[in-house]
Amino acid sequence: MASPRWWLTLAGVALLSLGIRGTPARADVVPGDKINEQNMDKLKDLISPGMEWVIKHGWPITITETKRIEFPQAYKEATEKYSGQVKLTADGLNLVNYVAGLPFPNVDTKDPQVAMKIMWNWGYTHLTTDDVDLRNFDADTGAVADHGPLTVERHFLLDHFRRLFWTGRLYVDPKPEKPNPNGYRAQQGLYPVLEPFDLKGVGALGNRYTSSEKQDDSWLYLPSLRRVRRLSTAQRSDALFGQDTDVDSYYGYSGHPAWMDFKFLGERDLISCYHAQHYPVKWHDKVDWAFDDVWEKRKVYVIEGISKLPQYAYGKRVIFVDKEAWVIPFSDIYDRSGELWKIWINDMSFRKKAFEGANVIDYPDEMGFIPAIVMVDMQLEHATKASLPSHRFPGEQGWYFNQGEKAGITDDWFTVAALVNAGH
Amino acid sequence: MSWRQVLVLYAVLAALGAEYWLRERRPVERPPGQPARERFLPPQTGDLREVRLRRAGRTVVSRRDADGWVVVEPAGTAIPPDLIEAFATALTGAEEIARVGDGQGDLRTFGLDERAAQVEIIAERGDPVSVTIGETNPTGTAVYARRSGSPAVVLIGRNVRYYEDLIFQALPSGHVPAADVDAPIGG
Repeated sequence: MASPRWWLTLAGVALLSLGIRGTPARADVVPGDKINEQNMDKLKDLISPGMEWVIKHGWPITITETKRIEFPQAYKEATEKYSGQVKLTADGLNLVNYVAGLPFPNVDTKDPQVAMKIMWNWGYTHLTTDDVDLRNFDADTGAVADHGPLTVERHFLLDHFRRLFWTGRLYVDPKPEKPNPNGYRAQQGLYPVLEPFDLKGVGALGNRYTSSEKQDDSWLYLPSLRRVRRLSTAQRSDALFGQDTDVDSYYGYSGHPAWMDFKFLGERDLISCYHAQHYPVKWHDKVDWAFDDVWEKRKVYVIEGISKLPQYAYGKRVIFVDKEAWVIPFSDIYDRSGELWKIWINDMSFRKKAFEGANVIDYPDEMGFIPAIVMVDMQLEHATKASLPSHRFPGEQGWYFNQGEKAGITDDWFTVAALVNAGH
Repeated sequence: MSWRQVLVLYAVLAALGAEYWLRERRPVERPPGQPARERFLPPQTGDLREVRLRRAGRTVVSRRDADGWVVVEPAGTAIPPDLIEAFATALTGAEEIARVGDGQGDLRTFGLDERAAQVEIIAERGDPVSVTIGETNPTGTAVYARRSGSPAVVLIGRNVRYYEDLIFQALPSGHVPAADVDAPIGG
């Protein structure tokens, strides 16, 4: 006959098992897991509807260890030196006393301005502080097959995507701010298009201002018409040239923090591709619109953004902002009916150099290289994928950070005259 | 110019005016903010007072006070007020993307059975409205839903389901964090 102690133990085990069953099990993954449509339940709490869509259509996910992402030393020092003096105006639309570094390193989720502070942090993140030159990259756009390849409708080859920041500078003189009578935050150019032939010479240019009262200046040059078109801020959400991408979606979100009503939807764990092993990008053999690399679990803030502009193409964006790295792994986009429309996915690789080799720039800190991006239109089952840099240029580093004039980053390059001249 | 020519000119002008007025005049544009499709819920649900959400045996009740949304059940749950607001706004602003059934068929096909989420929204004016939210559609961009007083099964935006998921994921359930919670932010 069993002793009373034996029965007590049994009862305890039974109660414990009931307790465990009473709590719904969270889906989870461990390094080494390979996730596809069949076992994606393991990921269900770590993805968004957009990521669910791409995985169901064949995007492969390999899980790796979560690694720390350190701020570059100069950015870290600037954050420590200046963040204490940074304030946000009562309406949340402008920064006061900002010099350099992360404006708000200690985010309090109970702060009524938490959503705006997170988005201002994203707007002044360390990905680019002074300047960046992305060279020799290409993009394909076309219909995507379920568990199959992209049918290329258009192939694009581009010479440069450049950004020059006028404030918050840490490496290239003058710093922390260039003499700035125009009040620029940054200038950006994407030109010239080299292929396809009918778009050769096309390019875009834009100025962003520190003041939220000023909209961006944006221009598009069309050599076939010999015309420079001025674009409105709302047109930044328009997909151009048959691609699925729009300028406002670059990096996950590239609009001014003041242009949207942001809501803080919480914190959660999410998978992100931040330590991609392949450079240049490795596209999956069969589902060739999906980059085939490793993903890690991260902690993110979830932010909803609804544009204040009535002509804006999208109903809302759901933006995930990494709590440690202050970058965006991917963002979902909905139409005005709330129907899932698009996703922007970043293939990121924090590393000190693009790859091993002579004459490859060796940065003192890990920099945010982005060897690829993908934007998928779920409603049209259509996608644009970009290799940054293109495989057609072996030895091309692609990304050049904070090189100033050595990388051709001059004030003159960001003028309409230079845009037109390059298009001839 | 003779009076006959003047008459002819006036007649031509009148004909052109009529042509423009009847056939060429641009249709009146939709005012900003007005949905292109039918709204899923009646408009009086705009000023919400309470949202009750039930799924898989778990219930979340939120009430709006002067400072915004407060979760009253489960008590002490830290769900961001903005998330409740975003969910309520997404649901009350939802449009009927498509009508896919009249409620006569098998509701299980649309996930509108015991697996569905039940939402009750109580506005300052009008009767409470109940909504059942089923499965996502095969393309993954929308969800099936029904509202009280209408047998129709309609598709509404996937956004509603995602925010519903975020609300339930915010409930405490022994969640294992991805990394050290106390680690300093920003390296």
